[in-house]
Amino acid sequence: MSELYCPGNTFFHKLSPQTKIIFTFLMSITALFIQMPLWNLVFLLAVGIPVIWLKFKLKVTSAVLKPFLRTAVVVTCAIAVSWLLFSGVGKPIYKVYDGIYITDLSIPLAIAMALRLLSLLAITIILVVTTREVDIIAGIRKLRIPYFICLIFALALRFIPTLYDDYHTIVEAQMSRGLELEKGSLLERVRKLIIILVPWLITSFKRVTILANALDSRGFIPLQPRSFYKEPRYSKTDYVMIFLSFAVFILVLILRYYFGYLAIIPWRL
Amino acid sequence: MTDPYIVVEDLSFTYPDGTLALEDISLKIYEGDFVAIIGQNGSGKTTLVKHFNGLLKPTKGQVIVDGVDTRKSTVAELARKVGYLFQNPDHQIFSNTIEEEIAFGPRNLGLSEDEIKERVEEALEIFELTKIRKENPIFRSKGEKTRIALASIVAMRPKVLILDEPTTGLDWRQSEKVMQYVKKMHDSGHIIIFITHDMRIVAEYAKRVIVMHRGRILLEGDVRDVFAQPEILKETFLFPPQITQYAHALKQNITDKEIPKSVLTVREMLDVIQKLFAKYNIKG
Amino acid sequence: MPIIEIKNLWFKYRGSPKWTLKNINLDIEEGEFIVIMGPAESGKSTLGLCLNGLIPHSIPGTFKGNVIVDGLNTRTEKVGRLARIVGMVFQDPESQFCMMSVESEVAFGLENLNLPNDEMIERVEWALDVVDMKEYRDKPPHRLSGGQKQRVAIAAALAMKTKVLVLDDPTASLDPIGKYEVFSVVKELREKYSITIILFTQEAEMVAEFADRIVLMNAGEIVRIGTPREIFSDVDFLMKLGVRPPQVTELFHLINKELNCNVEQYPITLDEAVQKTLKLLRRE
Repeated sequence: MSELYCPGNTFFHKLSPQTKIIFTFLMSITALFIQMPLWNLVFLLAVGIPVIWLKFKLKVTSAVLKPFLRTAVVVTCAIAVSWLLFSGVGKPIYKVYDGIYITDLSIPLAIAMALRLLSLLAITIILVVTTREVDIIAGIRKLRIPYFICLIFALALRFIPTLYDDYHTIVEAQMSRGLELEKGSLLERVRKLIIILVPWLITSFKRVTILANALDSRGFIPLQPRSFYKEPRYSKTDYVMIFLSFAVFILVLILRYYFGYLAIIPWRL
Repeated sequence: MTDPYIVVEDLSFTYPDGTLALEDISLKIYEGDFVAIIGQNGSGKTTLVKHFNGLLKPTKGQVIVDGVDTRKSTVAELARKVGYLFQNPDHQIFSNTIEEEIAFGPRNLGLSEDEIKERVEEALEIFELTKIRKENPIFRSKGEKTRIALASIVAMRPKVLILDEPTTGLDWRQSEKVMQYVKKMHDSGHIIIFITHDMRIVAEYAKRVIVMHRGRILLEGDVRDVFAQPEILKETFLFPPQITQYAHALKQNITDKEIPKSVLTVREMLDVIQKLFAKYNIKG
Repeated sequence: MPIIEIKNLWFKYRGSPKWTLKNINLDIEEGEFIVIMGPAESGKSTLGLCLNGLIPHSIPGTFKGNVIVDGLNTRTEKVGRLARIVGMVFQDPESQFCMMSVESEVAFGLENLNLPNDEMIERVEWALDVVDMKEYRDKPPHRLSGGQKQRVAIAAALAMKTKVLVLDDPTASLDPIGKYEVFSVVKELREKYSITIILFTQEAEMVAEFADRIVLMNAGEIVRIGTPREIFSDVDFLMKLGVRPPQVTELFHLINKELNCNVEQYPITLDEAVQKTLKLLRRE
């Protein structure tokens, strides 16, 4: 995650992290309630334009973003195709195979779902590109999530890259002894994974032991009162953004459930 | 001079994220070599040696091992010729007994059970592990684990042994023990390439030194020649062992040809002092 | 009153048949710079863990005797409380780094102390300044070198304004530049701040100049305590123990023994050695 962050001084950078978390959460849920291609597109543009703007303002390095985007495109296509062929609603217009039909509803649904996914992606990009990891944790903590949970989340974020590097090193070490992970039957390959797993568990366990000692040595006592270094504050802009996020969310709920708009198949998300 | 066993030609390597780790490296490793690769972390030492067993393939240039281009081989194929001891033995050890651990490599080579048994017996003996062969390697000390890991690589009988910081984290006695084994391996015909930060070990064991700096070879040659150029070593913040520095400092004060260009051990320096005493007529 | 009093300390890890620490008695005065040396398995790291209460509170085993730190008994005080007096830097630079940025790493301990925000900010700035890591404040640990990570660990302990700083072989896995960076910071702490420093290390040559006292350990016991000169001069004893004295000291010991030259005082640093040699040689 720290790889995706780009330092800068944009509007989004200046927002407090807890505000951005609320925004990300509410807007993501909002996206899930919109189920009509036109409106999904409108929503996507609404969140997508800031992303494009950020890309130009920050000159985001494409090297890091590329694999991320590639996976996103693949997943979006997969979702679109599965909705296109397996929607289970509407009148069939084209038969692809026995029991697999493109229907009059599945085309707009597929488009809607794809656009929705892209919206979720755009919202997440805004958060991750403009907020440092430490600030995301501070934001979660500001939202009154108990510190213990924040700490676990922070430690996980901190150690995932390290544990992954360990895994990679172990694979290299065992490959250097002639281990070929790709070869063999399914059972053989599972057995080979154990050859990677045992050293990995041992090194991870050792790391965790040192970490626990380090936390103790820094005076960490669970559930004791603690202060909050550089606690984020709410500014006027923060309050406005939070209000707008709630407003849009409630508006969409009303439009959908009171007026019956925004959905092709109203009984499901 | 025989043909080189490993030839590196204009090797450059860039990581997928764009970092240039190695730039225009050319070198040859010969039969009988005992090479130390030194340099700060990030200078490219490990990146370079990972090309010798195919873990990394060049982005430019080529690496030829025993006549075969590494780009055309798999790591498993090259493992027959080039053994790699990783810095932390915990990254390798996984078996229930030491003898199973040692048998792992030879088994991957597809050898017969008899052949595997023979090699395990041999390795156990060379590394003095026979008495504890049924013990679980996971609970041994770091020094023993290094020995076990080394034994399991040697059991594959590769021509080249690459050791990545084999003595880091070990005390003096354990380090000496490991290096004695390494020397034994060298004496029995293996080519040794080791990475280390311990200049004393370099002075005492290596015949040839390669100094890496920012992805390039800064200095390369006979160990005495390399340690005779402290000004260049200083560029990459490396310093010869204390006794070598002492000899240099002495030479700067009394330019006497009895003081050689490089003194590698305390014993050598003692001989020099003895000669100087005789020359200046110093008695006890 | 000494800031640390260790009285008749015995410790055995749970499940271990033998005692790792045997009858340790040691008083450390405030402001002292103590270096503890010994071969592997001598109990050094275990002793370190006893100094801030990790033993006996977090690490199970049989604990006999008492460790009094600034008047507090480690048996009865919680580790979190003792952490305000004793700061620890562990050997592994990677695993002891808990947070995702240098700044938050140093601030973490201060949050644990429940300090007001202004004071935390001031202390973080000061600590980062002392270790010269201010410009790296936003960097995550995987972007730092080993030496940088250890400097941050020192800053984290410093910021807590502990009276004692314990460093367990902080340079074991570092490259030469990392070693230099860490020892420079430790040297500066010793010179400018009245903090008590307890350093566990193998690097005789680095500490000869500025340690107040050296404690030698072997097989769980303290075998000798003295000034660097006293300790390093008994070269035979050290070699038998498995601890390497500075090479120049070793040289002069051999000059004394084998060249029958009476040298009253062995040098323990490079400069001293050069001076003494020149004096010896000009003695016609």
